[in-house]
Amino acid sequence: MKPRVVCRVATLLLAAGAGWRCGPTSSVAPIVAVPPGQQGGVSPPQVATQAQIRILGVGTHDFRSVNVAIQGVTVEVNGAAVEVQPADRRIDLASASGWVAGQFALPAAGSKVHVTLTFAPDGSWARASSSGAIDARGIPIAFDATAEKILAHGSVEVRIDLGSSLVLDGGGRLALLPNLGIRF
Amino acid sequence: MISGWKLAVVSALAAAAPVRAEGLSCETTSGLGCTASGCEPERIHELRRYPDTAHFQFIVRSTEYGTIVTAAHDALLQRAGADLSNWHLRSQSAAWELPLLLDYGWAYTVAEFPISSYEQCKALAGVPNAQGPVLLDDRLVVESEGAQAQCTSRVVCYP
Repeated sequence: MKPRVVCRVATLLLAAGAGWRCGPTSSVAPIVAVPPGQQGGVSPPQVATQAQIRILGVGTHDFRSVNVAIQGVTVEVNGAAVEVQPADRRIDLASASGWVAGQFALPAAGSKVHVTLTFAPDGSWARASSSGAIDARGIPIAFDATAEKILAHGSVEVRIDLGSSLVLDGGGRLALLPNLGIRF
Repeated sequence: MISGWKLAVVSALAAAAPVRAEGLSCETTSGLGCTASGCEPERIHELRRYPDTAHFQFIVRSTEYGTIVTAAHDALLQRAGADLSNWHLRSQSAAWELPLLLDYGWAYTVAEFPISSYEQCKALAGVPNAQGPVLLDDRLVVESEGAQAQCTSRVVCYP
């Protein structure tokens, strides 16, 4: 991509980036994705070199809180593990805000990215007049993406549908079986 | 089976108006829970006698026009070699192969997974020394241009 095009895209994305929502503990600013070595030369106000993995609960119904902890985030680029900076550890999926699970260096164009996200085994939920435990054991959330998808917005968002992801198990707890969508 | 000309037309439409991510979703269940009033699909299916069979159902939905969908397992049934290539569109009896063309619609498929023993469950879960209930999760991953959805169901094997 030519530098001039990159700058135009960066400017547009910066304006659009104001729409991102971050959790209360997140101090990460909206980012503009520019692949390494392709940064524009016309005074880009904010050029990020990190991609974000965001997580958000949707379809919260009458949950007042759905508290889980992110135990680990791994990212592989072309099969090789890359460093992930953890961000929000304890998250409330019933919150209207999204959360940042981790950040990693923007992958080079053409590469393939594999992401896994693991929750700690125990969580909790609350409604207006009841509350209980969440069993968050289970296979990690995992997905593959091309670098181009991630570079398009500098982030990927995991949207967990809470209404269909919390299932009553035989022990009287709610098991977290993620039904989710991935937004690039 | 999706025909070549249809795929070409839809591909052209998709290129002109990219499919949005929120239009794709999926559902899965791992067995039937039966009571005196009937049987219902379950997201968490418990096995207490062996041999037994887990009956998985998978549904993919699109609220967009001209969505071309691929699907794959990336957990239990992949390891078990289950075939996910044939899908039924809405209530049609004919099976269609991937990729599916969904116009504001849905498709489903099923897979049966025989489980011979508690020991087999432990081996599949990678916990050969477990003594209590063993969790076997299966995840369906469906994808179209610009969108990915995942859904999970669980088999619990009791000793």
